[in-house]
Amino acid sequence: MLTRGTLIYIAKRVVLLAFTVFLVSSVVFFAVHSLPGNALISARLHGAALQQQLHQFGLDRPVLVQYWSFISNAVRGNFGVSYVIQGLPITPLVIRELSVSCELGGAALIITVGLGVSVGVIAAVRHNTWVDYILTSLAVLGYTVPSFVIATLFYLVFGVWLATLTNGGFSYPLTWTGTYGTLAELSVPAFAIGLFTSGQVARITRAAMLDVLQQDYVRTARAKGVREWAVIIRHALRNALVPVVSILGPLIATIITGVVVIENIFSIPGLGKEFIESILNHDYNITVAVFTLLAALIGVANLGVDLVYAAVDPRIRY
Amino acid sequence: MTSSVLPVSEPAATDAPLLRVIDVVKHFSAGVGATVKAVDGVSFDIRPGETVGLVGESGCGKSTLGRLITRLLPVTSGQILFDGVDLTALRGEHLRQQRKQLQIIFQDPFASLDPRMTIGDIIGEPLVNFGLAGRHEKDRRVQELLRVVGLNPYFNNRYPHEFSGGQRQRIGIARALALRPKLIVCDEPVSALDVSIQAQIVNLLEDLQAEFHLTYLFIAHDLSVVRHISDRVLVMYLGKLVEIAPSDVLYQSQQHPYTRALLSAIPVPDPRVESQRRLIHLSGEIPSPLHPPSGCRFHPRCPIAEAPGICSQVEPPMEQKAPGRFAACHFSDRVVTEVG
Repeated sequence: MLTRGTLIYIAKRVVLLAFTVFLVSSVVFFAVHSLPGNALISARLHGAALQQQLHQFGLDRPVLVQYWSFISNAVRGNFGVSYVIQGLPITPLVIRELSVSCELGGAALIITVGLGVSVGVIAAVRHNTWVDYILTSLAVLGYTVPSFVIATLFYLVFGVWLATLTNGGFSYPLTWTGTYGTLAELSVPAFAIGLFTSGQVARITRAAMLDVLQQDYVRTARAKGVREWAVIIRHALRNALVPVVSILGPLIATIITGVVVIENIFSIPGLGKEFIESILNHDYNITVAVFTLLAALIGVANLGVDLVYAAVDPRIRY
Repeated sequence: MTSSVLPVSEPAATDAPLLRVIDVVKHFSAGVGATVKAVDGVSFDIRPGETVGLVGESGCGKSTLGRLITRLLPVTSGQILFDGVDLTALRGEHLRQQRKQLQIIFQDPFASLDPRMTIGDIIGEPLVNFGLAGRHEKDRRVQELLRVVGLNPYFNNRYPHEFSGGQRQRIGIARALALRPKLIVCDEPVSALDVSIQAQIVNLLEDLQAEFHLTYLFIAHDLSVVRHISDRVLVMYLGKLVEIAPSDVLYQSQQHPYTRALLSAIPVPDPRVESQRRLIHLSGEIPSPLHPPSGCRFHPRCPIAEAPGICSQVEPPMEQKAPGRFAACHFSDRVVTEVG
């Protein structure tokens, strides 16, 4: 599987990815530093006190000097300290937040693929029956309703109605008690993100399965005496997965966007919540760090998708 | 058509037929109230060790018939007796078990192999499926089968896209042979191949027949190939058989005008003969199987039909015209003299 060619391909992609991430963080660095106001705007300091603080963080230096000091630290994995919670080192903070977001995004991805592919396969096998109609309608509903609408609806159902109906006897845990949510706490926000994307996966899987089930080699498999479930899984689904994998790249970007929105709705202490907070707080270093990590995450995810692509289709070799 | 006499090659055939197709009908629904009569009452026998050719124009239902026999499609009515077992009555696991005896080689060597599977898995899957071979035994059997069909046995780890059309068809044949079937339906196995490769594949099929005592139903529209390989030939027109005869006799004289027209289309590899040769041009297109003509289905295109008359009113039954020769024509005695 891992031939020399594949390793060279991965190495090339990693170099390209590093360059992209560098470019993204540079652009964001200059963007946040050109925002009106300064990093200490929320501290309401004026005059000499402000100047003294700015000098302490090195924010009074020319922006290019600041950029150079940021880059030379960042390549060593040090994103500096927070300006708002003064002196808090950023790197451990964003790494922890990244792991929280990955937990949520990973759960959403599992729902996207698991639910989407299952629904698509069942709809295709039961083509033009009421099962197909119901599943296809649900899939359309899934991908036309944005995740923040679904999330708000979940909030209403699980957080308000359920508690009201049972007179507070049963309420669903909607706010995260720890840094990492429990399975129950995780499920609602993960579904809020995953329903939207799994609708698209279901639609593509169904179309691809319908196409593949018409193919000669599926007929060949039946002629061989392969059991029907094995025809569907081993022959049809394996071939139908290629278009599904190819939309996974854009879908992962959608999931990451969803994570940003949903974390803010459900107050999940992840990268997405920090994304908004750091911008509102003018906490420059954190904003740059968050963007850098998100860019790296999307890049790695897309590289992963391309490698899965080769694993699914033997005709693709790098 | 329901004939009381089943058309077999000789009246007193000693061998029991391996396959008996009895009045098989396949209708496809084509929208509300419309049915395509793809196969409309077909009966014939195939004896063990025989090669029976099935010829006819595109769309006449010959491939559908092949798929009905291999039960890749369910029949609308009729019976298919294989070794005395009615395949049309089988479902699920019983049907799956019968597939060991009955295999099919498909026309398109590119589309009929799963692109995600290695050659070893494509050929070996049926063995593992039926619990006939373990992992190690499978590899050995696959390599043996590859050798039998004339491929390098160490190709078993490659994927279909790495092979040419002819090689792929050999893979398809190896796959069909894996279960040691008694009958193989060859559904236009050479029509997608280059002429030089066609000869190789036909010769391979003949060699395999001798080696493994196979029985073939050979579906084709190339009449020269059918003549070369078949013991008997079935001629099909618009969902029905019109003539059945031993191939050496059929190519000399015909009992049905359609057969005569079809055979006149075979080119002769001699320019002098070819320039003298008379082609029988049939007028008109093959009628729609949605609304087949009344009486004899061939009458609108037939050069000797009495229409309006018996040919447009009465459907000719399949009758024995001479020993081993059957035709469905009211005027079969006039075919050789008056057609062409």
